[in-house]
Formats: sequence, C-alpha cells, structure tokens
Amino acid sequence: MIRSLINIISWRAFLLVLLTLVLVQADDFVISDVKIAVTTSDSVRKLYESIPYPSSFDKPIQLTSGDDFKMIFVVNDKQTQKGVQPHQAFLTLTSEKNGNQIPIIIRVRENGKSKVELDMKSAPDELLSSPGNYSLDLIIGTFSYNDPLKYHVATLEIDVPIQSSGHSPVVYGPKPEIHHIFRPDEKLPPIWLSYSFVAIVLIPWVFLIGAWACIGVNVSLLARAPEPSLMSILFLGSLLAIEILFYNYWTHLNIFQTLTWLTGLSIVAFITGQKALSDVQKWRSLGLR
Amino acid sequence: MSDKVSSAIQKLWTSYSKNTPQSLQLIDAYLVFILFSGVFQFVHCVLVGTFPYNAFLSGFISTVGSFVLAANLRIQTNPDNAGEFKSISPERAFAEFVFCNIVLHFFVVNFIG
Repeated sequence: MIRSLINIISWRAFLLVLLTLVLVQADDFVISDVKIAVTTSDSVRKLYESIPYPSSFDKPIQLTSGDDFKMIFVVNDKQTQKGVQPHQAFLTLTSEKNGNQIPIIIRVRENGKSKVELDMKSAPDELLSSPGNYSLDLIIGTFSYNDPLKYHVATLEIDVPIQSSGHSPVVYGPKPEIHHIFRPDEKLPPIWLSYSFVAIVLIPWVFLIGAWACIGVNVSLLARAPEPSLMSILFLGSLLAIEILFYNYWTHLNIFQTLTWLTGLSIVAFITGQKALSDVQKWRSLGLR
Repeated sequence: MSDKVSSAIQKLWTSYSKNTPQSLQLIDAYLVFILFSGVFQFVHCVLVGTFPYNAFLSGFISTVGSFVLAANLRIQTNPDNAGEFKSISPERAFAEFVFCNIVLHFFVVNFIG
C-alpha cells in the first residue's frame, strides 16, 4: 500500500520535472531564412546563397577589397514561430590565425528581421591589417530566453593586401616585465670636507669648556657642601644616562624599549633632581653661593 | 675712530665681567657655544647641500631650541628680573630648563633618522 503510494508520488515528481524541462526548452529561439550575398565593387553579385539554419555554409566565402558582404535572417520563437527582437545580436569574426575576434553589431527589427553588412571599403582596421581565414559566427542572446545561441554561419577568406594603417593589431598577452629602478644614491660630499666640518662643529665645545673654566665653574662647592651631595651627583648621572639612552635610541633601540628606559630614568631624575635642587636652594639661602 | 670703538668694547667687556653674576656668565658662554654650533651647521648646509635633510634639520633645530631654552633660563634666573618672576626660584627655572631639554632632545633624536 505504502509502496504504491511512494510509487505514485515519485512518478508524479518525475512528470513534474519533465514538464518543467519541456517548459524551459520551449523558451528558445530559432533562426530562419538565412541568406548571404557578396557584391563586388562594380556591383556584380558574386555569390547569393540561402543556408538552412543549423547547418553552415561549407565553402569559404572569399572577400577581396571592395567586396560587400550582406547577410539577412529572421529570429523566431521556436514555439510560436513569431518574430523576436533580442537584446543582443552580433557577428563575430574569429581569426583562425591568431584567435583575434572582431565583433559586428546587428540591428534586429521588432518582427525579428535582421540585416548585417560587412563592407570591405569600410571594414575594421583589425580585419584589413591581418587578412586570412575568419570564422563567421552569429551570437544572439536575450533576457527572456534561457539559452543564448551561437551559430557558425560560414568561413570568410579575407583576401586583401596588408595595409599598415598605423594601427598595429591588438594583441592580448603579457606585457614586457617592468623592472623597478631605484633612485640613484645622493652624492655624498668628499670625505675630507665632512671630517673638517666635524672638527669645526667641535670648536664651540672647546670654547665652551674654556670659557667655563675661565669664569670658574664652582665644582668645589660639591666637596665642601654642608650635606652629602650624593643627590646632585645622582641627578647629573641620571641626566647623562638619559642622553646616553637617546644615543642608543638613535643607533639601535626601538621606540618601545626607549620609552620603557626613559620612564624609569625620568622617575630617578625627577626624585633626585627635586632633592638636589632643594639642597642647592638651601645652600643659596645659607649664603654659600 | 677705531680707538674709540675698541675702548668702548673694552669698557663694555669690563663692566660685563664685573657686574654680571657668575651663573649668568656661564649661561652666556653656553649661548655663544650654541650659537656657533648652529652657525657652523648652517655653513655646512650652504656649502654641501641639504642631502641628509633630516640630520641637518634636527641638528639645526636642536641648536635653535637649546638657544631659546637657555635664553629663557637666563631671563628667569637674572637677579634683575627677580621682581617679575617672584614665584619662580632659579632652581625651579633650572629644573624646567632640564625637563624641556630632555623633551627637545627626545624629539631631535627621534627625527634625526
């Protein structure tokens, strides 16, 4: 009993799938009344053929300079056989030599009738600059139909003298590698000039030390201070340590290491500085200096 | 003429060395030292060019900054200006000078590259 029920359900499901498939298939278009014609420059019709839709024209169509290639066809809905105006319709010429594609846009009227022309007098530069065999395909696509259509119509044999119209054919592919070029180094001044300026910049230090010696830096007060002057020495030492830390920062430390050290040293410098300077103030108020 | 000038300079010098407190003379020496350090760096820049521009800028700016800080220290510790800076003792001025110098040197070293 249950088995037969499952059977019925699965059979119905199968039917549903089939129906939808049919419906999807129904949304399709066909091409009909394909006719091609080639007219030479002196209005002689070289070729006039109609092609039954799915099959292609078997012989290559030769186009020389001045020839005019025309193609007409009708786009129909497969079911209703009514004309359809697709959103996109174009011919592509694909070179059998290098695979370059040249598109030609087709205008389709509302009733599906379409006409396309390739006049060798005003053909695209890409075509004229590389003659040879081209595969002629018709591509049609639109929103309301699921499957686009690509139909190989024929092979064109473009037979024109090569024109170098200044435009080289577009070739898609990797471009030559770009090598990065570093900016050349700045020219350094001669080494003797640098060293002499190092010496010159050190002259003020000589002056400073000499001048302070002349004026008389009273280091002696440190020795004969009424209280131990350890704090002063510690303070000056911490300042010196900070300057050495800055030198190390310049040469190899990074900013985080520097800031860690600087925090510790500045706390030391703050405490000892406060002590030392209040000592100095005391000496001043005692009249020692 | 030159005699007059030289005698004026001599007079100025003796009055300076007699009337200026020793601590201010020390600061003055330091100011001259800073001034010439900056001048020599600038001369080097004019002669050679600004190639390590960061180095030149940080060196020169450090001299300018030090000069300004030292000049401020001199103004604040000058006994003649004591009336104007009643609440600032020379020791406090020196502490501020040290603090500002540390900050300045930190930025200079950071910028020197």
